[in-house]
Amino acid sequence: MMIKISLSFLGNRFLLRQTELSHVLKRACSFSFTRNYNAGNISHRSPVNLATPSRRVTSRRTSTALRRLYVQGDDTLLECSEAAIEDCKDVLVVPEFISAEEGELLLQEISRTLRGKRYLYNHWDGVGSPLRMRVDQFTCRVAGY
Amino acid sequence: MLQAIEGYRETEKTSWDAPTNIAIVRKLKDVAEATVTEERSQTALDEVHILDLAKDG
Repeated sequence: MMIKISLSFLGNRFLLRQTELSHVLKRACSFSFTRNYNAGNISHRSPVNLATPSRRVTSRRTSTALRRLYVQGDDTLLECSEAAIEDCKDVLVVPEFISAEEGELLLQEISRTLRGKRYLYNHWDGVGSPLRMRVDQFTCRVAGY
Repeated sequence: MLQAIEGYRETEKTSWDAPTNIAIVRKLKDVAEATVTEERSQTALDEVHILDLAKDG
């Protein structure tokens, strides 16, 4: 189970949403942690494809949308995200900001919130243009998935 | 085909039940707001966006 939480800033929310639903989502996320069920605790890890560079982050508005908190849990994530940070200077890095214990507390409450919700399959396949995909994503979110 | 994400659940939380979690999220927002320099972007919204990726997501 891997959880990502992110904060949106006043005036940028829609831009953030657009950004998150673009191909830069996985390198622009704010904080992620995964539960290690075998060990009974959590550990931090890098979101997949984190270092994938984005060539579409060119406009000032989109760049502003990426200016948000980036929390990482360990040095490994820093290495993974280095290329992404270089590619988009507005992604902020705050290492070791949330402890494993704090992450576990958040995870417990988030898990209750997510209980009963189903996982969505790749929502981008066979839908059409990226714009159409974003519209569909908004629809799903409003519907309460 | 562009594939940004697959196998996920999504939600938003505007409030937290556990007082400890309220403090944790407040701490996140404090750091975020202190770090963001653009004036109109200094206030984090109440909603915390949450993505839960499936094991194979």
